Amino acid sequence: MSTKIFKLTLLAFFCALALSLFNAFSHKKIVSNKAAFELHQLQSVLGNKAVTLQMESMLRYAIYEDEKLIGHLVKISTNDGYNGYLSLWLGISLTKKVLGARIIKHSETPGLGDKLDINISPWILSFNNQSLTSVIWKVKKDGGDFDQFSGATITPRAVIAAIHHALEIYEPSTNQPKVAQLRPLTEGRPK
Amino acid sequence: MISVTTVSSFKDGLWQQNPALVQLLGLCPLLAVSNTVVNSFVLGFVTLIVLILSNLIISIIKPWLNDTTRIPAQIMVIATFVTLADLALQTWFFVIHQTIGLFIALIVTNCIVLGRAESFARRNSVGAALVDGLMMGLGFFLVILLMGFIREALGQATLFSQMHLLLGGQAEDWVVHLPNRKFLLVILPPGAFLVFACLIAGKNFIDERFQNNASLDVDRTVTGNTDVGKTKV
Repeated sequence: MSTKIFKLTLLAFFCALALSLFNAFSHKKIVSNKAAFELHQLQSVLGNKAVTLQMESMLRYAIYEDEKLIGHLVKISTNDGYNGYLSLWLGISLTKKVLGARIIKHSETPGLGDKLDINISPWILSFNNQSLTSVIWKVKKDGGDFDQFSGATITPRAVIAAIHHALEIYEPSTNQPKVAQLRPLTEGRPK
Repeated sequence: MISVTTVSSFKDGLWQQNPALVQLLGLCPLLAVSNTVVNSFVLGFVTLIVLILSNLIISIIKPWLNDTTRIPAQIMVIATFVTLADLALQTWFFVIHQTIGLFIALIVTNCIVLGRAESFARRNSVGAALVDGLMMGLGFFLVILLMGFIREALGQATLFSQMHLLLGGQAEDWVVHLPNRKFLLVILPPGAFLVFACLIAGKNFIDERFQNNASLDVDRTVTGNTDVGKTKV
């Protein structure tokens, strides 16, 4: 009995050894890969402009172009998608104009609501350079200026409402506590 | 050097006992990750490597395994290789890992790997186990690659999209755009089942065809004449 336990433990030791060795070898590269990937994603939100990003919190980055603060990247989310949770990165300039938006996570139906994804359709680019007053923040069906997707109105409605709300409550001031700034977006919005 | 077992490993792994089409194993990754050529290639290839390595190691340590410890030991070996593969992908192909990362970890649950370890590697020589791992892995790899081609071509009307994730910048131009309309169903899970069913049906059809031809040949050689089916006067 004890030889069985011993052999199994010995095998476990060798497996753990192999894993630790490889981990030691690769850990730094993986961490830098992760950081580069996230940075690349964030930069692509702003249309690949040459900017530096400074992280203020998990949900907010300050954008510097040529050493000057030009705005912030905030991560916003909503549960009002057709299949629930949607999250996106939103770039807001100091003058409360949209610098760019990209969907991070969604469960919308392929072929219908997934037009939020920039790889599928350029719809999300229609927010670029818009401010609170430059357009009516509704889908065309509701009297606004934004395209809806044929067969999927709830999805674009949720995104438009989320971005509009984020613009409303945006504060450029950078001395904020390191805590999620945006309240749940379903709070207090007309249904 | 080529023994009887090796030859039968060739035939079994690729066709007669194809792990996906005949044994119906490894269907979870097969159906979930075969939506594009790149994804299929990566998952199939990683499964192949893990299968070969785990067969190799388990065949080497078989003298030290006994009935109570062999299952935990096999699972431990397979899990180690899968984790190494996962880390390797994160180190050198990070973006692909973001796309299919979950399913790399799930290779541990792929019945093909544990199945071959339990039924073959444990009882055969290191060389035979290696060949078996290679052929079974190739059988699975070819099926998932074929599914990837079909599903991407029919569902997205492209081939080799996102190839640059695997081969670097230049491969971005490899995308082939096809003229057909995008058939949404094949990208979704039900469509994966249907495409897979068609592949199985195709294989069975080919098998039956060859069986018919083979039995006609047997009649000829036995009776020595070519008057098969003719009535005797």
